[in-house]
Amino acid sequence: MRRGLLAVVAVLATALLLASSLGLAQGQDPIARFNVNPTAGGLDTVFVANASSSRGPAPIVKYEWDWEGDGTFIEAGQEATHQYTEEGRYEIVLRVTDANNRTDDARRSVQVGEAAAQPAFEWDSLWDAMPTLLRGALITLQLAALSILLGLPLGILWGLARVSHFKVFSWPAAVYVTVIRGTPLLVQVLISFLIVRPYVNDTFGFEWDAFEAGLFAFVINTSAYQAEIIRAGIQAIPSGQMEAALGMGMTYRQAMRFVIVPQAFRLILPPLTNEFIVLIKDTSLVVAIGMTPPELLGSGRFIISRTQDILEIYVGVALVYLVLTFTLSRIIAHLEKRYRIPGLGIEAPGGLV
Amino acid sequence: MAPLIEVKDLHKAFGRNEVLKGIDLTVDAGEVLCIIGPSGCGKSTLLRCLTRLTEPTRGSVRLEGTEVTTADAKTLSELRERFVTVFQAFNLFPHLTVRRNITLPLREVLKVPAEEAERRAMDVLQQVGLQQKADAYPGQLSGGQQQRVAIARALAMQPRAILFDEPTSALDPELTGEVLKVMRQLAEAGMTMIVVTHEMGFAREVADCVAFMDAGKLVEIGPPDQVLVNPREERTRAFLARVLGRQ
Repeated sequence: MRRGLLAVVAVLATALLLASSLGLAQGQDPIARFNVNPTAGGLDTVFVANASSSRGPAPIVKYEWDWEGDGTFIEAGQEATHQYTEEGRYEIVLRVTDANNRTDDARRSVQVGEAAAQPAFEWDSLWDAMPTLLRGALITLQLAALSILLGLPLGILWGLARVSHFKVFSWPAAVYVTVIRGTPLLVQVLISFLIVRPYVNDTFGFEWDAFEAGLFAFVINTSAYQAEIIRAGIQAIPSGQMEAALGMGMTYRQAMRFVIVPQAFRLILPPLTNEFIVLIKDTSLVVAIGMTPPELLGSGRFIISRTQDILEIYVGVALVYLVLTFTLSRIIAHLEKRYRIPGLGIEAPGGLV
Repeated sequence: MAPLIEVKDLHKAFGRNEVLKGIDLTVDAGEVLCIIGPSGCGKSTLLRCLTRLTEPTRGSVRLEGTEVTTADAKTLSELRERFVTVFQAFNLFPHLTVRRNITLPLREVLKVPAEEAERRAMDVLQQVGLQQKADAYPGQLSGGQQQRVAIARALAMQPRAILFDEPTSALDPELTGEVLKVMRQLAEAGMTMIVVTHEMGFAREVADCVAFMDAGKLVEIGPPDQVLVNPREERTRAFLARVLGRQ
């Protein structure tokens, strides 16, 4: 059993290392952004594009516009106008250049004349977004893995406190679980970011940013849920097991170590998997506190803010979450199978999950 | 010689519910004592109080001269190694093989070396006729086989006495026979046993002494021929009439 746990820890640690070693910083490029008004019209319509939302670490010195999406850029100001001579769907590209001569592009589409049929799902848009989404996925993975690694020991401690015969332990644990489980995670994330973060930064000289604030909220949150899972697991072991162990002269510690915990471990694996999957998905809540570099959902929203490919990007984001959670559930399903007790319980039917 | 097990004025109450109302009892080495009586009369509680799996309220239990009721944790562990309980629900460890069920307490409690533990396990499994099941898990065995493993597990500890708490009550009638047969062999081999049971035939045949309990008291105690065939007490007679009439 110990070897199996080690394997899980090793996988998580590797993912973590991978995430942190691939330089996550987005670099110092400026960010091109614009909107266009209207987004549909006729040959007599004057389309007005405004790039005032573009920004960068260094001041932006040049705005170039490609109205036809054919690679011919015309330098103009922050705001530019255009009138088309042919009907069709056009992609407008804005290229900004900052004082350090770094550039960035942004894209938007306009419809001139009769709208063609609803544009189909464009795999290219999804494909182009993938590198950015995967960089975001690494942050998501890092956030989730750290939350699990830090949350599990805390969850075990709270869980043991919860089943303790001593009220000094069981009472605070019950209050903790009730409060954390009874309030929305989004609110906890916001409190962590807006109240806890400035407080610990001022008081202890920490340098918490959105990432650390999110992590803090997730660790607190998941440990409360895990405490309940662990309590249920321990309490589900029939009392006769403890009696038989003690009845043959084992100490309480020996009985826990050799008899109770190995059985409880098998019982809590499925609900614990569930909790880990929920946790991976819930890390998306940090979009509310705007993390840089952004995690998976944040990355998707960043791309959408520039390309408007809502369909392709959100589908892409969902797919990447699915890959993450599916991989995790497979790893743990393998553990479950390996530690299944022969002759006990109903064999799970083979399936995806 | 002091008796192996000596109980004096033992009381147990769960809240206001008095389950044991002053029990006096002695069991000598090599003796087989069967405790019979109606459900809820306190016989299982009495057995469990002997090694404090249930904490008695007052009174005295001496095992090989050592007082149980005031023993510290270490002494209590040592006493439980020598006076092992076999339970109605078997209580085998489902995550361990039969072999490991037997060697675990040997290795961890008695600190027996691995090879010796292994040898003892196979030895006791042979005694209960299950050596071919050494690598099976408890969930793969029938109830009767599980209880025989539980007996083997107790036996491997080489205890001074084995305390049986209704060992066949959870079994189908056709499976009780194999368990009783093993217990009969143990008795013949001279093992000291206290057996809480509903099996009147077994009690009559194997016991040196039968105790009838009712409402928290020992009503009648004596040789099986006396207690089971010619009971002196009216309550014993009524109980036997009910039970034997049904059987």
